[in-house]
Amino acid sequence: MIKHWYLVAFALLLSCDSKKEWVFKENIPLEGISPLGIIQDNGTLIISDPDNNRIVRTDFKGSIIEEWRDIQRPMHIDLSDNKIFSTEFINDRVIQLENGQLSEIKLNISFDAPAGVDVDGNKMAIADFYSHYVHLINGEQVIQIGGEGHEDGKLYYPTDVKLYQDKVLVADAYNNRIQIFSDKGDFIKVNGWQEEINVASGLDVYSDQIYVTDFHNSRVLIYDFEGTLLGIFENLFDKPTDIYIHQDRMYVANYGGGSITVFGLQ
Amino acid sequence: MKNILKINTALILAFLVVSFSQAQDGNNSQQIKVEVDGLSCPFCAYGLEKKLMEIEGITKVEISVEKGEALLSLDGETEVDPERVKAEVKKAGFTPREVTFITSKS
Repeated sequence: MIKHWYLVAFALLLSCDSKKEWVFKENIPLEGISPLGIIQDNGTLIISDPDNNRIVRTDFKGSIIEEWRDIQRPMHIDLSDNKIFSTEFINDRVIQLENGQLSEIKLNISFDAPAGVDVDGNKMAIADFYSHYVHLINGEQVIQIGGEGHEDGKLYYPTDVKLYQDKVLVADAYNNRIQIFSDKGDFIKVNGWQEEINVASGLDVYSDQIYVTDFHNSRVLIYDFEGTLLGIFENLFDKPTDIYIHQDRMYVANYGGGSITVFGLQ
Repeated sequence: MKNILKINTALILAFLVVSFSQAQDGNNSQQIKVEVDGLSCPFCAYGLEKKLMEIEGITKVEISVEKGEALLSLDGETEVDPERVKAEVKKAGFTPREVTFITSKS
């Protein structure tokens, strides 16, 4: 249960601009939805609801406006070029929603429980949970990043991925850390193990800062690209699985509590 | 005449009992309960579901993260080996404990 009386105390934090800080705005309850992935799209929220095998569009009161059913355990979501991307964990598929129409993206890759997808121009990255790889597609080229292990550059059940400039960031869930790779697949940096993250479930990048959800500790941690911890939000969330930041608004999906927590940068 | 009636009645009753019993057997549904260590998050739960659904003869998988168990519904035709169930649990990244067959009348 989210303790609202903590909100003011913990909501003040950082941003790239030291004069600005994240301020708690609201907690949106979602009746009958167990949110795992989230994005914001034209004043609405797009949420994956794997417990009910669907993706839904809601307003900011949590009411469902639109839904797409029969998606087998949809996981994290991305928005790129007015298209919504997600994965089907059970059916090993990458899917897209364009103009409300659902379709599969045919890829010549054998997945085993794809959990996260990110698209940036002609680049697409997919975090594949059971293979322990991130597949990076760059035009015709496909690069495999990671492989099962605990050393730097190895992955252990990756759940989310983000492309940012020429880098690939991975929520290396059960290694309890974030890893940064080049878009050539070379290991660059690891963040998070010092803070004892317990399942790095989702991530986003905003203004050169890395935001990661810490599932079991119900926290959001913020790092720079050098690995410096910039801040921690806690006592605000309930088993968070994803974070999405857009136009100075931060949205955190509380899988445990069935809600979305919203912050504003001001 | 009375004897014939008695025999007929007995035969009809016996037929009804056998038919009822067969009908009951036909309505029996079988499930497997697997206790699993390490289940804790949705990725784990869906991952276990995915691996268990790959076993032939399993029609439905219900995961309870709170109880740390998976309940498998069977098609009633295919024999499911408990060792295969345990192997899939391991493949999903967890430690299997007790595997119990449950027969219930639906």
